[in-house]
Amino acid sequence: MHGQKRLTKEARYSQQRLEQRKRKAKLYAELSAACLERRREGRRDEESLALIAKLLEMNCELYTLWNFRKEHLEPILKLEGDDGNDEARAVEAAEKELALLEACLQRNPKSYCCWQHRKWVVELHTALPSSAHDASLLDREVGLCDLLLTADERNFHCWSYRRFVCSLHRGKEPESELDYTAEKIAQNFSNYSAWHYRSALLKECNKTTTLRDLEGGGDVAYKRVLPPHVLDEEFALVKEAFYTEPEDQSAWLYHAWLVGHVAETRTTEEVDERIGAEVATMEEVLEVEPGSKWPQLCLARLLSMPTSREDKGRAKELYSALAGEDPKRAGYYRDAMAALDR
Amino acid sequence: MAHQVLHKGAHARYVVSFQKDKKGYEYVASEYLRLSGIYWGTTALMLLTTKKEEDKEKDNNNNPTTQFVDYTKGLSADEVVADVLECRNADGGFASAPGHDSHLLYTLSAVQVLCNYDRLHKELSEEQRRETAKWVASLQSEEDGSFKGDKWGEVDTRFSYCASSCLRLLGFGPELGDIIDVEKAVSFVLSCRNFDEGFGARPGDETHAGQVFCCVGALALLDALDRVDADRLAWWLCERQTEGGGLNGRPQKKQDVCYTWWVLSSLSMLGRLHWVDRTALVAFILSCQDPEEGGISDRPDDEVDVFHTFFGIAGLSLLKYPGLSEVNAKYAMPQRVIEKMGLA
Amino acid sequence: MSSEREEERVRLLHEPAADEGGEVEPKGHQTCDVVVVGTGLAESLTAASLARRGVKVLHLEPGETYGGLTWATRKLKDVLRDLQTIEVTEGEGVAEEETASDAKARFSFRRSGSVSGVRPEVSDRVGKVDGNKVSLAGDLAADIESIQFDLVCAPKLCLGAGDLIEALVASDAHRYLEFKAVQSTSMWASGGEEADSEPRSFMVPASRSDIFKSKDLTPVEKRLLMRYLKSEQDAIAAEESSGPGPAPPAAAAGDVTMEEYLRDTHKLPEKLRLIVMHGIADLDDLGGKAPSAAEGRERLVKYAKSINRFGPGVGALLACNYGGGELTQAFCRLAAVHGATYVLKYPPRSVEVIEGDEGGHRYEVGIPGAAPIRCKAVVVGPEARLCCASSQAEPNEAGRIFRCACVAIQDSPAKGGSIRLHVFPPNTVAGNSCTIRALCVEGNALNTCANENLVVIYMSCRAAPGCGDPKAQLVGALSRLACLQELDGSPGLDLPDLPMALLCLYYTQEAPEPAVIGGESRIVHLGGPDASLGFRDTVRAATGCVSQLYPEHGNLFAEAEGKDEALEDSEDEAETSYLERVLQSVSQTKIDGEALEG
Repeated sequence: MHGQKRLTKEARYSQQRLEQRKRKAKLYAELSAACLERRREGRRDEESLALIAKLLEMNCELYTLWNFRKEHLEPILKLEGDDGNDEARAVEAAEKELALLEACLQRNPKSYCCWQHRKWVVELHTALPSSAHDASLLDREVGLCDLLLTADERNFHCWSYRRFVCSLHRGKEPESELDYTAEKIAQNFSNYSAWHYRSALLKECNKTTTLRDLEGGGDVAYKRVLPPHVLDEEFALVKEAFYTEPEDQSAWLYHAWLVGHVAETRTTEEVDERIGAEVATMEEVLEVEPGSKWPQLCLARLLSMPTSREDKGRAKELYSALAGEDPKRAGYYRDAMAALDR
Repeated sequence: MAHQVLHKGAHARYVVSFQKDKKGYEYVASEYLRLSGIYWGTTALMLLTTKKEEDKEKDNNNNPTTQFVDYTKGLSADEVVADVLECRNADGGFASAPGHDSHLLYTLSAVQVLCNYDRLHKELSEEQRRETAKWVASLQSEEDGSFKGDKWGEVDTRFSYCASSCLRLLGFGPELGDIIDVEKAVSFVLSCRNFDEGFGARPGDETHAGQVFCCVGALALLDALDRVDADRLAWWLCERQTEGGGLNGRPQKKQDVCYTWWVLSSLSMLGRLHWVDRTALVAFILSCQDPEEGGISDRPDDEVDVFHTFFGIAGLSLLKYPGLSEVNAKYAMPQRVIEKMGLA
Repeated sequence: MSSEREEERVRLLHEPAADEGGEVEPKGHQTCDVVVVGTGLAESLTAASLARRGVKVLHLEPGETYGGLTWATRKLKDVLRDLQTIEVTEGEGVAEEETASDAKARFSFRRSGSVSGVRPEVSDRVGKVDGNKVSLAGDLAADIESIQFDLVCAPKLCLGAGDLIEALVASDAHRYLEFKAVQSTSMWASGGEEADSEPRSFMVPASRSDIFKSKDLTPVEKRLLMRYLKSEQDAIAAEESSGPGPAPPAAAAGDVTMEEYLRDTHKLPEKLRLIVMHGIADLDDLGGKAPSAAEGRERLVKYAKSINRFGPGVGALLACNYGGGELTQAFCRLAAVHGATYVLKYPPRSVEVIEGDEGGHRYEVGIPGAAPIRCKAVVVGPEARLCCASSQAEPNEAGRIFRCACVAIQDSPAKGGSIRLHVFPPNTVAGNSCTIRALCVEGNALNTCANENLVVIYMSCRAAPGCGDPKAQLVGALSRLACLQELDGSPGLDLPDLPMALLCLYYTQEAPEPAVIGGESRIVHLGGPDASLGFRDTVRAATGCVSQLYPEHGNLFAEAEGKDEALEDSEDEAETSYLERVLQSVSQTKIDGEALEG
C-alpha cells in the first residue's frame, strides 16, 4: 500500500464502498479460482491463456500464473516438442507475451514478476535462429527502458533490466551507456541511479587493473583502476553538481568514492596532489556556504587522510561541529572523531 | 503527534482481523504473498507480546501496567500452522498459497512461522525437512553461487538471504557446506557490492536498503560479515535518515516505515545502531499508526497494511521501544525463538 | 475554423453590405448583452469569459481573419499586401469621420493602423522592393510565398505556469491547441571591460539542471545563482503555505528596485543580475521606470513554476504550434461553443448612447447596411478606435514597439527545426536602448514553414522616446543572428554559421493601453500585443475588462473542482466491472463449449 492515502472512517465504512468491495472480492476470487483450476488441469488452450492474461493485467504479481505461461511458451520458444520447429509461431508467441507484459508494466512498473518474465521471454526470443532482427528487438527493449526511465528516473527494476538488455546487445558499447548516464545526470543530478550506473560503467569502459590484482584473481572488476584523465573528468563533473547544490547527497557519495578510489589506486604523489586540490575546493565551497554539512564532512575526511594536508585537529573540529549541526548522525561523527585518536 | 504511544492493542486487532477476514478483497487479492503475510502478522503479534517477567509496558501516564496480554492468542496456532502446511508442495518447497508454485520467499516464511510456533520438528518429519533443504539448495547456481527464487531462474541477493536463513533454521550449522557452496554463495553476494559499499540485487544493480539487509544478513548467516567495510556501509545506511526522522531506502527518496527495518537491522548487525537518531525515528514510526483502527502505514496518513505494521513494530523493537519483545536482526524473528533454537 | 463556423453562424445581419455607400436604413434593431469589436487575444478572452457565463456576446471582426492584423498567423503574401495597404490608409488618413449630431452621446469607429512605418528589405535572390511594394520572384520566393509559410506580426511565448496557460486550462480551450517547447534562451552580453568589445552569447541557466550544465558560469557563480533562485522559491512556498501570513523579506516589500534588491540583498554580481532580470524575469527597464523587486520576484517565481511543468526537460517557455494566431481562434471557438455570435468583415460605424430600454440596453452600435445592435456594453480592440469629436474620448496614448520579421536561409538545418530565444539587454549591441528579444524559428518547428532550410527571426523592443526607427534599434542585434549582406550590403560580421537573410520587414506596432472610453464605464478599449514576451498583461487586460463590466464574475474562468475520493471509488467500480466482463466471457465460452459438445 505504498503511497495510498488513508480513507476516512466514514468513507471506509460507507455502505456503498463495503458492498462494492465485497462484490469485487467475490468476483476476483471467482476469476482467480477459475485461472488456478485451469492451471491445475494443465489446460493450455488459447482461451485459458487469454483468461489468465486478463487476470494478470489486473494483478500482475500472480507468479504462479506467469509460471504457467512459461510452461506453455517454453517448448514453443525453444522450438522443441510436439509443437515442432515453427519459428514464425515462436516469434508471434513471444511478441504477444511482450505486448501483455508491456501493458502490465505500464500499470505496475515495479513488479518483480513482470520484469523477470520479460527477461525470460526476451532471452529466448533473441536466441531464436533468425537472430537477424536481434538488434532491433533489443533496441526496442532499450527504448522501453528509456520511456519508463523518463516516467520514473529511479526505477531500479528498469535500470537493472536495461543492464540485462545491454549485456545481450552485442552492438551496444558501454560507452554509449555512459553517455546515457551523462544525459540523465544533466537532466537531474540528484539521480543517484544514474551516478551508480556511471560508477559501474566507468570500470567497464576502462578495463585496466593492477598486475597484483590480476594475479590475485577474485573480484577483479571491483578493483579496476580508473586512469587519471577519467578521474579528472569525473571530479570536474561532480564539482559542478555540488557547487550548484551542496545539499545534494548523490554527488557527495560519488565524490567520496572517487576520493577513495584515488587513495587506493594512485601513487603517493598523485594522491597528495589530488587531495590538495580537493581540500582547496572544499575551502572554497565553505567560503560561499559556511556551515554547509557536506563540504565540512568531506573536508574532515580529506584532512584525516595520511597526506601532506593531514590535519587531525581541524578534522576533529569539523566533526564536532557536524555533530551539532547534523544531530541525527551525531553518533557517527563522534565515532569518526574517536577513530582519529587510534 | 508529540508523545504518541504505540497502540499495541489496536495493531494486534488489526493483524488478527486481517488474517480472519478471508473474504475481504485485501486478503483475496494478496494470495500471491499470503504466506509472507502470515509471517509478518504472526511475528508482529509475537513482538507485541512480552514475556510476563519482562513486561514493563507503560500506560499513558507512564505507569507500568500490570496487565499482561498475550496478543498471539488472537489467532489459533493450530489454524495458522495448518494454513502454512497446506502451502507445502511435493518438491519440498512452499507456495504463497495452496495451488501456487513453490518459491524461496514463501519457503522461508513457512519455516519462520513454524519455528516461531516451535512446530518445525513436530509438523515436518526429518525426511520432509531434508526435502525442503534439498529443494532450497537446488536453487544455487554452481557457476557463481547465486540463488534463484524458483526453478524459473530469477537471480537476486534476496534469495541468497532466504536460502541462508532457511537452511540455518532447518538446522544446518557447520554442515551447511555439505549442501551448498558457502564460499561461492559469499562471493556472489560480494560481487553485488557497489561504489558506495552497499549492495544491489545482482552484480551492477543499484544499492538499495532492502537489498543491503539481504546481503548483510546473508553474509552474517554465512559467517562472512568481516568482508565488508562496516564503517563505509553503515555511514551510507545512517544517511538514509531524512529530515522527517524516518528512513529512506535510497538517496533522495521518501522516508518509509519499511526501511526502518531494512536499515536498522543492517546497522544492528554491523554494530552501529547508534548512528541514527532514535527519538526522531520512533516519533516517525508512531506518526504512521492508525491509532483507532490499528495498523501502520508507509507514511503518515496513508493506508495501513500488514507488511508495514510488522516492519514498524520490528523496527521499534530494535530501537528498544518499551513493552516489545526483542527481535533478532539477522533472522527477523523473536530473539527468544532464536535463542531457544540455539542460533543466537 | 472560418468555413466551419461560417455555416453555424446565426444570420444576425442582413445581406452583407458594401463597406461604404448604398446605405440602407434598416428597420428595427437586434439586441445582445455585449458587442466585442476585434478578435485580438484580449477581446477573444473577454468574449469567451463572458459567453461561458451566459452573457450574450456579438463578436465583430472588422478584418478578414480572426486575430486581426496583429494577432493572426497569416501567409507571407497576405502580410506583405496588408502592410502596403496600411501604409496607404495611414498616408491618406483614415475613413471619414462621422459628424456627430450629439457629440456627447455618439462615438465613431476608425480603423486604426496598428502597424506602421513598414520598411521592407529584400535580397536580389528572392525579389525586389519598390517603395513599400515587395515583388517576389524565383524558387525560394515560391517557397516563402507558398501556402505553407506563415508569419505573425507580434510573436509571443507562453510561460508553462503563466496566466495564459492557466486561462487555457481553466477554460478547457487548451484542447484546441498544441504547444512546442522552446529549446533554449540565449543571452547576449558585452564582451568585457572594453566598451567596444564584441558582445557574445551564452545560454541562460534558469533551472537547476541548466545551472549544473552551464559552461558559462564559474562554480561559485553557479552556487550564487542557484542559492538565490532557491531562496525565492522557498520564500514563495512559505508564503503560499502559510497564506497571507508573514510578509516577504523586507527588501522585497518596499520600493526597492529589482536591480538594487539583487545587488544589495542577495549580493549577486552583475552577470547574474542580468541573467535574472532579462533572461529569466523578462523585465525591461523602460525610461527610468525600473521594475520593482516585488514585480521581479513575482515573475521569477512564475518562471520557476513553469520549468518542467509539462514534463522533464520541457523548460519554462512554450510556443503555440501553427503560430500564435491559433490562440485567439481557440478562445473565439470557445466563445462560439457557448453561444457567442461571430461576424467577420463587419467594421461597425458608431456607438450611440441611448435611453436604457427594458432590457437595460444603453448603447446602439451602428453597422453600415445592417440593423443597429442594442447592447449593454461595448468592448473595442486596438485595431478599431472609438472616438468622440468633441471630447477627450481618445484611448490612452499609444505605446510603440519596434519589430522586425526576417526570413533567412541556412545550409545545415537541425533535424525537426528548433525554437530558440535570444535576449539582448540594453546597450549590448550598438544603440539598443531597450531590451531586444529575438525568437528564432528554424525550419518547420512550429508547422509554419515547409522548407527546413528557412529560419524566421522575429525581433522586438520597446520604442523609447527619441530612439530612432525600428531598423536603427534592431539591426545591430539582427546582424548577430543573420548575415544581412544580401539585404543592405552591410559587410557580414565575422560570426560562423550565420544564416543568410533573404527578406526583412521592419515596422512599428502601436500598443495602446486598455482604457475606459469617454467616461462611459461600459465602453472599454483593450490594448494590442504589448512589448513583453508573454501574455500576462493581455490576460490581465481581459480580466480587468470583464470585472469592469461584470464585477460579480471574479476570475476570468472558474477553476475545475478536485475529485480525489471519487477517483478511488471509480477505480473499485472500474475493476469490478472489468472482472464482471471477464467472468462473463468465461461463462459464455463454457456455454458455447457445451453446446458444441452436445
